[in-house]
Amino acid sequence: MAHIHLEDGAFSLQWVSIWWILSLILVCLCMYWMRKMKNNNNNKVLTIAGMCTAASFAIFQVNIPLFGGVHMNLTPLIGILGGPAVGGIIVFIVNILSAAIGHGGWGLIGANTLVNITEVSVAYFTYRGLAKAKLSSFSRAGIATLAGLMLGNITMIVIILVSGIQGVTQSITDILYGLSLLAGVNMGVAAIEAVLTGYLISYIQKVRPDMLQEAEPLV
Amino acid sequence: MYEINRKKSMILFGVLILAVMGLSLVAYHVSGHMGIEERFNSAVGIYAGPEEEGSSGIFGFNIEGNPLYYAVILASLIILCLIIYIKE
Repeated sequence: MAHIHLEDGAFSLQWVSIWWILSLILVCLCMYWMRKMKNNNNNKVLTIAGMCTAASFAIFQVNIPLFGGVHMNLTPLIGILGGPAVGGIIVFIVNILSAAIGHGGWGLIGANTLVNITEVSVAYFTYRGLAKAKLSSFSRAGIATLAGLMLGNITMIVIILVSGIQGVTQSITDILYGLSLLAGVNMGVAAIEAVLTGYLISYIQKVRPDMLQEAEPLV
Repeated sequence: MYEINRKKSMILFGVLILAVMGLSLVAYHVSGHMGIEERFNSAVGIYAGPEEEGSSGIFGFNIEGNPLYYAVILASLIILCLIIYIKE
């Protein structure tokens, strides 16, 4: 998964504010969308959202001893189960709770929310879009996870390059090179997350297919 | 309802996973073995002091941030989930 793992002060106040405002606008849009959905849906959405928030928070704080240390946060699974509206709110909450326990800076919540909303939305739309490709739910979820996490990494790189890092003398090319390697390592974890998400989605489809209603409108 | 082509699905997904893992191993080999914060700082050119030695955790898995806050927040989230589930 992609997450800007920098301390507060890495971005200038101007960029911290811009990313916070943008993410708040998106979260408000998600809330508005969710409010509209509530009319024709029931408490199931709320249950899924609560469960996804707890699972994502629990796993995101665990440092996995792979490639020197990596994290997972299940954003593609959140996207497939809850959709982009619910997913957007979940990742915002998880980022706030993470900062509260000292994992990530408060100033980077806005930027990290944007990265995670990208992952959630891309995974959701890829999973939905692959419905016509006659692929198994395992493969659809796995491919959607890879796509979501790759776009998340690209968003992370773009945000860092646009914002710039305070007090750093490296050129943009050097930063781009360093971040590309970092994204490459992140994608190794994305492959593991893709298999995990694939198994979870195919299992959920067998035992509780109604939970996938959000992403399976064609079936 | 459409018919699922399982063989095609697995081949496509398998090829993608192998390609991604291959690229990732190359990136890891080029960047070297380091922790997540060290990797990030090195990528953007921040020269931080030596990383503090944290606990090695269980089999190398450890918690980021304050473990007590982690436990409290996680317990609260689980209780909230149970309440919502029971109400549903």
